[in-house]
Amino acid sequence: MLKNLRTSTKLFFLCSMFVASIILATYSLIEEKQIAIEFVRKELVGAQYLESLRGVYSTILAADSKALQDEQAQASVDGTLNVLTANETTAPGSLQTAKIAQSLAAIVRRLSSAGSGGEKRTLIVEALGKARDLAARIGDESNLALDPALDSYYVQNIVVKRVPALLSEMGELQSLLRTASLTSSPSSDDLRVRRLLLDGMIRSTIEEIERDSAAAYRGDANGQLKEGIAGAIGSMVSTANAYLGSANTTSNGQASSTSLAPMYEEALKSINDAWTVSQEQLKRILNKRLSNLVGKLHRSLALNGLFASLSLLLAMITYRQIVHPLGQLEGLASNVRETKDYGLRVNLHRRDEIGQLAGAFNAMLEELAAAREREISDQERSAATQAELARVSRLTTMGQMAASIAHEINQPLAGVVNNANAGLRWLNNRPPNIDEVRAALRRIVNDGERGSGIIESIRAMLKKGDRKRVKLDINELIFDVMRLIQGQFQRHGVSIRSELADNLPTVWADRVQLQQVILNLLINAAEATASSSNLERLVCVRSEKHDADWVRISVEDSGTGIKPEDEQRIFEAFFTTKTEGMGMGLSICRSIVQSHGGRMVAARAMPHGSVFQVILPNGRT
Amino acid sequence: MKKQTVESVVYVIDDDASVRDSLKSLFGSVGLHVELFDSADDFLQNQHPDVPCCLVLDVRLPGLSGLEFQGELAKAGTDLPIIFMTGHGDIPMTVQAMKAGAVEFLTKPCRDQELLDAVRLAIERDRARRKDERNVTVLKSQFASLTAREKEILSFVTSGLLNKQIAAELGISVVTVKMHRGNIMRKMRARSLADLVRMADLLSIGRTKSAPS
Repeated sequence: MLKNLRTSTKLFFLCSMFVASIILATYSLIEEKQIAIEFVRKELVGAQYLESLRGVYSTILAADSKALQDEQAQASVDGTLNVLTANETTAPGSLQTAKIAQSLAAIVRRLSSAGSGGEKRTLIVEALGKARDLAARIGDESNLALDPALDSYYVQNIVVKRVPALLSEMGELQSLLRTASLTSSPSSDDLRVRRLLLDGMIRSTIEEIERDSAAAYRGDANGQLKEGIAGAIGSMVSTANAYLGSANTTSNGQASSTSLAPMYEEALKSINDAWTVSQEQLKRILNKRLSNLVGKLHRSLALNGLFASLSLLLAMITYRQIVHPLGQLEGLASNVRETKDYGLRVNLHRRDEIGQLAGAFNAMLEELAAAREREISDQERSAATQAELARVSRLTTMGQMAASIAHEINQPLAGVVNNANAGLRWLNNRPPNIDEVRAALRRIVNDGERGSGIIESIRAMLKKGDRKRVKLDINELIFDVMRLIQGQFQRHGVSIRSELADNLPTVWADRVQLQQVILNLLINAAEATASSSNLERLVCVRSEKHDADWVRISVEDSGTGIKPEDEQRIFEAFFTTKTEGMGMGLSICRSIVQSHGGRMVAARAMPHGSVFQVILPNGRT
Repeated sequence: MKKQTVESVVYVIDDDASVRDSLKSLFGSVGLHVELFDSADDFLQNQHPDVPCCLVLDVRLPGLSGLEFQGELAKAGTDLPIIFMTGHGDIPMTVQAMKAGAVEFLTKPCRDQELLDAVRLAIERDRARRKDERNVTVLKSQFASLTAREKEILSFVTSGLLNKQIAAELGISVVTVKMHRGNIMRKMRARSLADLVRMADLLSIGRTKSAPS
């Protein structure tokens, strides 16, 4: 089935399958890249979310130091919470943080409306814990915690876990210290343990932040990250440590917690700065990765498109170079078949298989043309040969006739000369022999008459020998011919008998041509009879009526006759049974008779010999 | 009829009666005896007297042609002089006829004197040939009467060997050779050695070493 498809169709299939495979590969590439891009986008959403969370932290921590009842503060709390809610809703479904965010918002509202004192502090700690939970949840849900690259992983670790943890712990410590100072009671064991614990936790968190940032720097090749966040982190660590140091002295000595407040504020500020810077760096890294991915995707797409269009181009070129020339060849072949013009050539100058095919095709056409030419020239030559042979045969017949005439005239002439010489000699004898002279003169007269008779026959033949069809008396024609070839018959020792019917219809025919036919038949008959061993050497020529107004001339010999196997071929050109014959005589006779609308028949005669019949219409049509 | 009386005969063979008759009259007018035949076969079927004669032939004859007839006669050893006449002779035909020993090749119609001269020449040639033939016949019988030894010595003598040489060659005495030579001269009726050599020439012996047996 594939065999019968057109080459262009095959090429089309091949090409479309190739293009399909490219499209498939491209699709899976896009899909894969899309996953990575989506991953990064989700991370960016998470980062954005965290930024709003940072505002919430500021609100919560600020609640500790100043009242939030005034309008302005209330509005800023509302604004911060609104931003959080808005971020929560922009990532619906993808980040399952709604519950935590709502409960955080509820606590913060309660915190803002709550008075000062223990209730407030409890709320602050609770809010900080929730905010920390939310940050961790955002980190998990937005893939930040799964980040595959070293730099971004450690930065997000700082942003998502460490800094919120630090803020929570700092906030808790600060509220713990404030509670202790407000109650003014000597710090109970319980509180002291709690404070020491927090102190250790903060220190370990700071250490972890330092470790993480160091790890992040290692992952960042160009150092841009370190440049961006090292300063912020450093100041954060130093302020936090300073705060911790003064907090320790506060709890041991009498220094009031109020003197701690500015340090706390400073530490919070530097932490917040570090957080902001880190978040910005994280966003920068993620954005860079995103644009990287998109760029790669576009490059791949462009490359694939380029190769696909190249392959299409190649297919088209192949089509032009294979199918087009093949079509050209096929068209030329059918053109040659229709027009028989073997001079046409394919015009393809190439070295590939198509070029070789075209070359072979041209060579084949050349051979065909040569063969055709040979055929035509052969035909022309054979036609020319045929005409030449007919002419030669005619000349031969005429030559035979001329020789016959010359002999016929020469014989009586020789007689005349001899007789005259003899007569003179008889007269000169002493005494002259008058009887002999008389006899010689009589013989001269006879010879002269004989010669003039022959000349009369020739004149009769030649005078009327124009090439037109004239009204002919067949008997007269036969008689003229017989007179001319009587001598030949004598020499062959063959006698001739004529049986000519009266009242024959006159025939319109070419005199010379018809004479040629009869002459030919009679000479053939004489030769055939002479070469036979029959005792009776006789040729009989007859004329008779055939049907109403046709004439039949028969020449019958007593020769060897026609062999049965030769009967079919006797009128063919070049067929002969004579050793010196050309085989043209009978063939020409028949064509002459046929041109007169008649026909020729050959048959065996009884008891031996053969008979040739010429049957002619009167020709008046 | 008058076969004894005629001295010579001209045989005319021609298929044309008028030509035959005219030739008979022409030859008759100069006193030549003529016999007419219309074909070669006709001529061969008749007996002919042993007198000098010649043949006047047309090249184109019914049956055997003139040239074929000439060949047949030569094959049979009949050495008759032939004069050819033809209506249209060509050079190859003439050459063939003359090579085969024809006396003359004339085209019809020919001058009477030419023809008559040719006939006379032919008859004279035939007469001489007949005389030679007769002489050779006599010589042959004389040669046949020699003994084997005499024939041997004859061939040596006519080769020009001296008696001494012949004796040495045959291993006999010179006297014996001389005696054989005398016998040879007598039997061959030779008047001289030159006469004997001429006879040997006619018999075509002696020039070669191998003597005819």
